[in-house]
This record gives sequence, C-alpha cells and structure tokens, in this order.
Amino acid sequence: MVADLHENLIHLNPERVRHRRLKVFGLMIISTLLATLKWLSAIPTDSFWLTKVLMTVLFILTFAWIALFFWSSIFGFFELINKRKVPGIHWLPKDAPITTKTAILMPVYNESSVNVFANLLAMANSLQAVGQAKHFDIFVLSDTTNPKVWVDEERMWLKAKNDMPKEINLYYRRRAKNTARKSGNIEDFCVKWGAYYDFMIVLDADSLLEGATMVKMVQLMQANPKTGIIQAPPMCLNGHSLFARIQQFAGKVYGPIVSAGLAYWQVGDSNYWGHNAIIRVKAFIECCGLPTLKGRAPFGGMILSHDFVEAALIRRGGWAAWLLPELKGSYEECPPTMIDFAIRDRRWCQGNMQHLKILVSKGLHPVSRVHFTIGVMSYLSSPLWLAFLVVGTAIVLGRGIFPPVYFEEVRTLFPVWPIFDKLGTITLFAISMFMLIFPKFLGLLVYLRDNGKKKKTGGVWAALKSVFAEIFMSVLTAPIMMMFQSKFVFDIFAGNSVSWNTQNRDDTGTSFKEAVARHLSHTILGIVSTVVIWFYAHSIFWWMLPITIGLMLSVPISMFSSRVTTGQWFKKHKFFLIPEEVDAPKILCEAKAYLKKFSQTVPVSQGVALLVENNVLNALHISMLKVNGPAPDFARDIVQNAEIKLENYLHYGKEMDLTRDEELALLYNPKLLLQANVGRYLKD
Amino acid sequence: MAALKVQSLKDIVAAYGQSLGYYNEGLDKFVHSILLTYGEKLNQDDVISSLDDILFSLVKKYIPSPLGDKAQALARFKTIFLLNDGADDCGVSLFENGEISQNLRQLLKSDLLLPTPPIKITEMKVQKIETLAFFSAFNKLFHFLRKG
Repeated sequence: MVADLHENLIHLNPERVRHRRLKVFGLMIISTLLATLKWLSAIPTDSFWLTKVLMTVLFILTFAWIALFFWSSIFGFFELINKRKVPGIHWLPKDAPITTKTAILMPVYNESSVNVFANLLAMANSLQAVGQAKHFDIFVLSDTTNPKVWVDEERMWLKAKNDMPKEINLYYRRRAKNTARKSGNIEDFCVKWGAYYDFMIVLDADSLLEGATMVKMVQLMQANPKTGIIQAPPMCLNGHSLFARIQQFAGKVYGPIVSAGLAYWQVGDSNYWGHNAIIRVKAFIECCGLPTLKGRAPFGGMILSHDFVEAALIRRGGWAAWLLPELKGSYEECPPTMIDFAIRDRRWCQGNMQHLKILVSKGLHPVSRVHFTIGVMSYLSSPLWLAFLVVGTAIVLGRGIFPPVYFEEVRTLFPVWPIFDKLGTITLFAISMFMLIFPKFLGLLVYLRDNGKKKKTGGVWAALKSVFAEIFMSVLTAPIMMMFQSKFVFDIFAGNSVSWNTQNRDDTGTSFKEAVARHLSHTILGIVSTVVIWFYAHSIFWWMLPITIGLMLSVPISMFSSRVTTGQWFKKHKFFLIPEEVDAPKILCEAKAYLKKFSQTVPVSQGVALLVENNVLNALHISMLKVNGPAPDFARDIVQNAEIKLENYLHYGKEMDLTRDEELALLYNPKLLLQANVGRYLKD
Repeated sequence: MAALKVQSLKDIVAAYGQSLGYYNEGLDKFVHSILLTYGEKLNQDDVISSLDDILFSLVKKYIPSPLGDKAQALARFKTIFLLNDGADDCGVSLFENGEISQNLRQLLKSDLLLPTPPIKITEMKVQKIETLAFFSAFNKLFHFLRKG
C-alpha cells in the first residue's frame, strides 16, 4: 500500500506531465493534419477559392474538436483498463484521522426546499454512518427571490434540524440581494464564515455525495496541502424520462473514460465544474474574488460560468486542481427533457462564451486557457458544424444551378472535367464517425468489466443494444441541439443576455404546445432543406437525411423523449439500464424516503399566510431576519398595498393575492408579521 | 394595524397569550396576571409592542448577548418557548417573576436555532483579470446595430 502511494507521487514530474500532453495534443494535431490533407484532395476542383478556404477552415476546427475527444478517450480507456490512479496525488488509507473542519455548502435559488433538505439529510446520515459527522457543518445558502419559497426554506430548515445528526450543525441564511449569483453567494459565505473552516464542499441543489466520498475528499485535501480543488466527477442519477435515462446511461458508460482521459492530460491542472467538489477555503479566499468584467453583458458584467474561472485563478495562485475519476459516490440529476437541457445550455453557453474575453488574462496556466477553449468550443462547434453543412450544401446547390463548364471559351482538345473525390469524402466521413462512436464501445468494455453482473446491468446484450439505441437517439437529437446551440451563440454575439432561472427538475414532460413553440423553426428548416435538397442537390439527399430527419421530427422527438412513461417502457425492455437503477445507492433511497416524509406534511398555506397562521414559523422567521441582511427598500405604495391586503385577509378572509414585492415587503416587516399573527386570534 | 386598535385590551392580551401557546385555563390565568401586573403600563395604542417589551425585559437575562437586536432575540426566545411547550412548562410564572424552567434556560443558552455562526469577517480581494478589448468593441458594434 505504502509503496503504491509513493509510486503515484514519484511518477509525477514535469517531464511526465509534458509527455502526456504531448501525446494527446500531438496525436490530435497529426490526425487533424492528415485528415485535412485528405480533405484538400477531396474538395471539388471547380469550387470557388473562397468556399475552398472556408470549408477547409471549418473542417480543421470541427475535426480537431472530434480528434481531441477521441484521443483523450483512448488514453482514458487505457488508464481505466490498467486500473491506474491519477498520479501525483497522495492517497490515504480509509481510517486516516480527520483533523480539519469542512463546510458543506448548498447554494439554492428558488429550488424545491423539500428536495434540498431531503438530499442534505441523506448526506448527513451517510456521514454519520462512516463515523465522521462531527467534522462537518452544513450551510444552506439561499439566494431565493420567491417569497413563498423563502418561507418554505425556513420551515424545512426547522424540520430538517430535528432529523439532523446531532454532530452536524445545519445553518441557513438568505441573502437579501443576490449579487453575482452563485459565485457571490459562495464568496459571501467565505467572507462571513470562511474563517471557521479549512475546506468547503460545494453542492448543487440536486447534488448527492456519499459520506465516504466526502471523507475521502477531506483526507485527500489534508494529505495534499498544495491542493486547492478536488473535483469528484458527478454521475447522473434518478432520471425517469427517456431523455434523462439516456443521459444517465451515457454518463455511466462513456463518462468514466471521458473523465479518465481528461485527468490523464490535465493531472494537477484540472478544472472545477461548480459542484460536487471540495475547495480549500484559504486558496479560494486568496485567489477567487471575482471582478466584474468591463463592458455590457453578455461578454461584460459579472462572470457567469464562475467555476472555470475560479479553477484557473486557484491554479494561477499556485494551488493544484484535480479531477479524480477514482472518487465514486458523487451524484447529480439530469435535466428531464430536451428543452430543459437546452435552457440549461443557454446559460452555460453564455458563461463559456464570456471566457473568450478572459482567455488572454495574465498569469493563467496554459492548461487553464485550454479549459476555457474547450468550454468555448463545446458550443462554438455547433455553429461551425452548421456552417460546414450550409456551405457544403450551397456548393452542391450551386453546381445544380450553374452546371460545370466543360468547354471553356479558349478551345481545348479535351473537356475540363471537375474532379470530385467521392471515395475520399466517404472515407473522411467514415473516419469522423469512427472517432465519434468508437470511444463509446471502449466505454462499454470498461463498463461491462466493472459492472458485469447480469442482474445489475441486464446483461451484455442489454448494454450493447442500449449503446446502439443511444447512438441512434444521438443521431436524431444532435441536429436539434446543433440548431439550439447555434441560436444561443448567435444570440450571445448579438448582445442578448440570459436571465437567471431555476432549473426545472420535475418529470412533467413536454406538452405539444411547448414543443411546437420551441421546435417549430427546426421543423420548418428540416422540411424546407429536405425538399430543396431532393430537387436541387439530390446527390447528397441520403447523406443529409440523418440530419434533416431529426429536425423534421423535432417536435415528436422532444415530446416522446420527455415522457416518464416512455422512459419506463424502455426500462422494462432493459434499455439504458444502469446498476444504480436496479439497486439504488443507499443515499438515494434515504433522500427519497425523506422526500416522501416531508411531502406528506406540506402545509396548505404558503408565504405570509403561513407565517400568519403558524406561531412557531412566525417567530422563527423574525428571529432569522437579521442574518439575512438589511431589508431592501420598497416603494411606499407597495408597502401600503401589502398592509391593506393583509388586513383584508385577517378581517374578511379575503385571499391576499400579494405580488412578489408586496409579499417580500411584508416578510421584511417583523412588527407587522407579529401583529398579524396575534391578530388572527382576534379574528377567531 | 388598525385591526388591533378597535379590540378590547383584554382581547388583545388574550390573543397575545394564544400566540405564545396559552390556552383554556392557562390563558385565563395569563390574561388575569398580565392585566393585574401590567395593565396600567400597557400602551393602549400598541399593546403588542408593550407586551413584547415586557417579555423582553423579563427574559433578556436568559438570552446570550451576541444575538442581534431585540426583535430577533425575542423572536428566538419565542420560537424555543413555543417548540418546547413553554406555556405549559412555565405557566404564568414567566410574567409574574420572570422565571422559566431549567430546560428552557439550557436551550436558550445553547446554539439551538442559531441560523448561522457569528460572523467572522475575512477579506476577499478582487482579483485582476485582463480582458480582450476586442470584445468591448464587438459589444458596442452589436449594440449600435441593434439600436439602429
């Protein structure tokens, strides 16, 4: 054991790290160069020079993107097959003592408080089960703006405190003004309470981390004092719709080789994904005070995708950042529908595009710049692919409308034949497909090795057919996502900023109306391009069909994949089955049990009405006002209207029907709340 | 609130008692005790605030000091009092001689129901991040075009 630990440490030196990066990026460059040479010989000779240049540039960018993913996955595969741990980090035995204090941070923004506290209790119990609960405190850091959710968070905080293991303090605070969103929320914690803690584990509202994993993360931080961040790759779980189940299957089967591939070349210069990670508070306080960027949104203003930037700044400060695929027991939930996925993507897209602006910032580690570039390319690749398709189709259409001139004005003995290397183009297409699909089968091999028990995975055949089905669904959905992302990129470059919305985590499915509203343009584009290609560019009709068919069927695909019933049908037929669905992790079962328990006692009244009716919650709310910060200023008429509505409610039983601001104004008025609470007995 | 002004003093005191968890016989004793001991001191225009002031003066010795202002400290007392059936536990002795049970005293001393630990400020300096000027120009161009 000790020898293994030393081997891991000894084997990481700058030379070895350089060698790893040289291999991945060298192979990416070589394969892109070779493919580009082939591409140059395959372009029709009669194309206009500008289109040739444009097509070649687009080809290089899109192919390089695929090649990086491919080679990274190949190296990830070999790391996993050989069961190698990420080198350079000092692992400790399970029973290594914990001598530090860690805050578990749950930043929330108008989330379902029942879900949030159910997850936190499950995590706390898991910590207690491993006997290390006393080294952790939990903070619910609310940025909630919905007054009803605010009151419910307080209600659930009180409820959860009863069930919380005694060793763990469960704290709650809500910010009156959510400056800088999530990053500002964490920063506020660091400024006010960071001094009490060595580390913080940052969660998302749907995060679940097993106690053993959190303890392992703390032990790693203790044993590696120059480490600033350790990211535990989260696995998607608890998906019920077909869309969510496909994502979680893909995450389970392909995720490990992708993570291992990234860890292979990133080593101690890894990234941070915003949640399910542990951060050294000292490093964060020293390095991560985020500035407001010059200029207007979307490129200027506050930094949206703060996680990448924080990782880069921590790295710039001399601390290491690790992505450790060895850390299991880290879970999150997937968006349940394609539309929810796209809405989340819109937010992430803007955050990543903003990184273009800070790519040149001084002192950043080159790998941090690569992270930013990868983030940008994750979205920019869609419009690039779209442009590639449009230009390619335009060339073929141009030939249909303006046929090649075989005999030029100057008389020649032989006709001028335009040369088009059809075989070369097909070869390049096949290579691209191979590079996209082959890693999936490598992932499958590792998955079957690690989860081979038939009972849990449904057997080899179930896993294999699921991979084929996932590829089929990816082919159908990729053009739709391409269109979504292309629009997002265009919107962002056109200066349209995104607002901060709560992510939908419900399994209600996509209605026909919503699907049409979101996908009508995709459907029309699919139909028009199919017709045009059929009549004017028939030679590429069958090549383009996989793309156009996805667009044409975007409405039914979106609706079909959003349904829980569809997801369950596929589950029944052993499609996309993962072991965690058959035998759910204990922590998930506990979270669900708490969710069920709390859902049975949800009060009918909400917000101010609940505080009027419930003496305990009324007193509790007033007692917590100070920690929530000074009350914002409300306009006089808002306050007056709120008071009148409250009086009408108390005297005449009229529905309060408060606006958001009126309700907030009342919630910030302890005297009025107390009087209303007492007043309700007079009403009786 | 206007709603409370038109009620009789006895009704308001009773409502206040109910909001603290006093019922039936206990409530009658509560009202009787308050009116007898503090009846003349109560501000008729704002009886609830008066009662709160009295309650605070009686219980402040049990409330640890760093708990912020009066309203918040008293609200925390009330929360713990209500959650632990303080009305049954203490009866009217709370208002007669400011006595509360040992159990309540201990709960009030503990950090139970403290929403957060005391604030301990650490400075977090804003980092310098250089940006590409190109994007500012780009932004301006797009804003100009959109306005146009």
